[in-house]
Amino acid sequence: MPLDAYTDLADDALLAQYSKGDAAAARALTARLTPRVFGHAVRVLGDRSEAEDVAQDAMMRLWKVAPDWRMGEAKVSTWLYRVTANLCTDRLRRKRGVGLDEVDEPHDPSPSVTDQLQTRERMDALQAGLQTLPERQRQAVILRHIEGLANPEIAEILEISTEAVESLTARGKRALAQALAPAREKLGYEDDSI
Amino acid sequence: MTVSDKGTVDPDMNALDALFAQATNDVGARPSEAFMTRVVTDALAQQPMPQITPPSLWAQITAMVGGWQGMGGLVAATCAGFWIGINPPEGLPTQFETFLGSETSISLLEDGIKDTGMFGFGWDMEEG
Repeated sequence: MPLDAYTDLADDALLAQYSKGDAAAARALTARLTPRVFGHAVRVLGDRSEAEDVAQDAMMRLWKVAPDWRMGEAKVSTWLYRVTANLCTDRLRRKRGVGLDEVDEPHDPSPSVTDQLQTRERMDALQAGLQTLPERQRQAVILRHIEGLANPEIAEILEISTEAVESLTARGKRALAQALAPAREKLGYEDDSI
Repeated sequence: MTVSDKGTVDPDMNALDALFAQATNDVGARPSEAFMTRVVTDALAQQPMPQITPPSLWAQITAMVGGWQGMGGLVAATCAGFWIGINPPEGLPTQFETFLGSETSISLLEDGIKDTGMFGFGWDMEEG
């Protein structure tokens, strides 16, 4: 099957191909799902190295469950986000007390140095603000506002009701806005048309 | 744009929405190439081997005679042979002729037995 054909396949169909021994399906699934899993982990944990461990572990669980996956029963990405969220929770429980100064920030290779610095400062501020939120609020805010998932899917991932998701995201967003308010002018994101 | 419960635009929330939008496209939160390679390596190491089923007997026979083309030729030749056998063309000796080695036949009914008066087993014999 040509590689382009894989872009139209659903995640579970790709997983079925993977289980049949199709190496291209393995690469397509990795390219599609790993950035999402890693992005979520790095925002929740604030540490690239730990996020890599979590993402690799989550993807490994997907490879292992692939032969037993039942087509059409569950959404692969939802399942994977849930595994990632749980792995992040486990990590955060183990390393309580790590200060914001120890948070490892991602690097941004954007072209303009000024833009790069400002973008980095904003992302650092956002990451620092996210770290002040309780873990469940943080996960819900990241899934809703950065990953762009719908509330019912977030409810499935976090294994709570949709109403609880709405409450978590609303409280999380308010808390985050308060945490970032002092730095808003300094970071200069209020007058940008992004 | 985020509007508060009182119906007014909330500048803090709008700024936050803008920040979220920027974070969604932040390349800094993307995995490195080396990490992606590691995940692919895991995937290939964990991947079930492709299931190789032995070819069926029919597939083995067709392969033996040269695939579907060979099988088609074989069927055509068989049909042609069968047809020639039951309906040979003019000039081609029949199997019987080949067996006898001659095309001469003797008609006993017309010349010999009828003239001897022994034919008919008495149906046409007169009584008395």
